[in-house]
Order: sequence, then C-alpha cells, then structure tokens
Amino acid sequence: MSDRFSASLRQHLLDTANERPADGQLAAVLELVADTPQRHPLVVRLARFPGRIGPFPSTAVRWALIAGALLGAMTAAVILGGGGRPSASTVFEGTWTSTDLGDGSRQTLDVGAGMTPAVHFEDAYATGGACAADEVKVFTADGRGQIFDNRLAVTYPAGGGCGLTTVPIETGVLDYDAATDTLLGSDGLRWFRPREDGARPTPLPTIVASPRSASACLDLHGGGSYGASVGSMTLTATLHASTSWEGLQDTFLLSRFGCPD
Amino acid sequence: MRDLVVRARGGDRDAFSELVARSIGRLTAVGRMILRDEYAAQDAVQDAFIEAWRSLPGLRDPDRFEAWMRRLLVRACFKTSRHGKRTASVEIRLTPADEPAVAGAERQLAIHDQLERGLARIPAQQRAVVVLVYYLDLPLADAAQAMDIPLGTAKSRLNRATNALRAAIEADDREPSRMGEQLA
Repeated sequence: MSDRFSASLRQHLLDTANERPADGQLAAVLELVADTPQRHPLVVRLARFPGRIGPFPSTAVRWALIAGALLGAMTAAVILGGGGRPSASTVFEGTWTSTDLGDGSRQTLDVGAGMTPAVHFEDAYATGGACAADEVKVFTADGRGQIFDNRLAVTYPAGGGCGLTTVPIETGVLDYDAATDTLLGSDGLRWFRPREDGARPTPLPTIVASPRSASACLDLHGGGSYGASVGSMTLTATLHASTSWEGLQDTFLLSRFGCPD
Repeated sequence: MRDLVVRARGGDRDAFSELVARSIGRLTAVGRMILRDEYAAQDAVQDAFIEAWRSLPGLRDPDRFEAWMRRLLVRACFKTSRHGKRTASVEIRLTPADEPAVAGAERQLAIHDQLERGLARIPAQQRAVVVLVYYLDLPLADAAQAMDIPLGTAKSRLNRATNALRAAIEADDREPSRMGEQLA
C-alpha cells in the first residue's frame, strides 16, 4: 500500500469506521445464543467438506451427500437392528403450502414423520418446460428428507414431472422459523401450514397507512403489500405476516428494528 | 483468547459471551462497511455469531477463531445482500453541473466524499475485499480465505474495486463544462 490513493482509501475507512455496537445489539446476540444449542462436531465437519469434494462446491450437492450418507447409515442400522420404534414427530411433519411466485400456482409439501421423513412435493399447475407436453400440469416429486436442528434437506433421487417427462430436482433446504411457525426455503420462498378450512392463504391486503407516530412510521407486522416512493419511482414489497416489520410512509424503507428517528 | 475459545467450544456460554463482547464492535464495523446498511449489518453480525456458537465444536484449531469469525461474517453479509430482504434504503445524490471546483483544505473532504460514493456504487463482493485488505489490513491471501474464494479471484476483485474507486475520484475531478457536455 505505498501509493497515495491506497493511503487515502485506508485513511478514509479508518476515519469512517464505526466500531460501536448498536444499543442492545450485544444483549440480543447473547440472548439468542442462550436459546441455541451447539451442533455435534461431526455434523459441523460433515457440513463443511472443505475442499475434499472438489467437483461439488455447491451447498445443494453437499447437503445431498450428507443426506445420502446418513440415510444409508440409518437404513443399515434398521436392517441390522431388525426394524425400530415408530418415528418421532418433528416440527416439519405435516402439510405445508406456498405460492409459486412465477405463476401463482399452489404448491404443497407433505413431510412425513421422523428425522428422515418421506417428502412429497406437488405444484398444482406447473408452467415450466418440464410439463410443456403434458395435458395435466400437476408437477409431483417424491423424495427423502434429513433433519438437522431446525433444517430439513430434501433430495429427490427420481426427480419429478407431470407424467411424460422426468426432470432432476436440486436438493431443497428449508429452515423452520419458530417465531412464525413457517418454513423458509433457501430460495426465499416461505411455506405455511394450511388453514383448517382448506382455503388458500388469504391474499395479502394492501396496507392502509396507519402512522404509529408523527414520523409516519407504519406498523407492518400484519403483512400485506407495502409501497412507497424512491425518488421518482414507487417500490412495492409483499410482506408475509411477521413479528416486527415497520416502514416509513413517505419514503420506501423497511426495518425490523423500528423506523429511524 | 485461546482459552476462551476452547471453553466456548466445550459449551461454556460465558466464555462465548466474552468472545462476543470482545469482537462485536469490530465485526459490526466491518458489516456496516460491506453492507452499507445499519440494520442489515446488525442482522449479519447476529447471524455470524449464532452460526459461530452452533458450529464452534467443529473448529479444530482455537487459534484460528478470529479468521474463522471473519469468514462467517463475510458469508452472512453476502447472504444478507443476496436476499435483500432486510431493508431497502436508497439514497440518490445528484451532483450539480455547476458545482465550483474545490481546492486547498477542502480537497480532503472532497476525496472522502468521492470515496464514500464510490464505495456505495461498487458491488458488495468488491467492497468486502476492500474492507478486509484496507481496513482490517489483512494480507490478500487471508482476505481470500475469509471470502471463500481463490487468491486470484480476490486479486481481480480488489483490482476492479480500486479501479472503480479511482475512476470515481477522477470523474468527479473533471471540469464542470466537460460534465455538462457529456450529459447533453
């Protein structure tokens, strides 16, 4: 770093750095740590595969290999042990629904019991190329899951399709969100438990401005469609019901930690 | 520090709390610089610490804790910036064509402003390598490791970032009349 530009850049970063944690940040982290268990060392190391599987750098493939290896071990244990106890229930067990953001179709995920549950995926109306030649465009896939802590990794060894064609499917990774009792996929899609009356989740309402204070801070925790201006544009965000989203009325700004003063 | 890491690795939450208290300020500063968003940075730091606690039993070498934490933070920052779910805060600055040229003591302020705007314009991945090398003063090899990328990739990202920042300064140094011609 001998040139003047480098010196200016370094000085600028040092001058503008703010190493003061936000108010309450430390306490919030420690509170979460207090409620979080540590992983077993073997689980941690299996999840890393640092450079040992060179041609398979993607997270999806690593999870697929982990799931496959553990599934094989458990199958062997069942065979050698002559069967086992009924599978214990997990938070993932049951039916989950979501909306395909591409075409609005309803998607369903049925997760069985136990730590390696059977998983059935269904898209009620697939508009992708995989089903282009099919008259009935219900896309289905059957797979097997592996649960680690609050994460479910699902592989679909036989792929999926609408009947005429089968296509491969990447490993799906879903995290359970205890605060909202939903699943969050690695693709950003959120899955909900279906309503007891069988209806689809209610279409998100447009949030009516209800300023919480004189600074026009909107309480968005009920979810909905939030729009506000950014310069000459209007940005709209679709929010699912959550615990603490807030936004400004006049300018597009979303925050989970309250509106700025 | 090593003793704290060993204890925390064995499940000692008090030891981990001490590690968090010692490093949260620096890591938050890094997160702020990479993400340029206060709330996103707090989220990324929080995610990094939670992941650190969960995965600490798998850390073989306690002396590598700081480097490992940097890696977790950078990963959390990229995840946050990729999803873009946390906050959307857009700042648009317009430079008047007739802004008078600065000189003397105001020059340093102008450079700071130009660098700040230049940093805002480059992608998060380029910003990360700039922060790791210029703010944390890491060798490029260590920065590459923190970002989980090969050394060559880190080098090219750093070159692109510094070229963009230099260009940002040079562009703003042009005569106002030439700026007006280019915009017309």
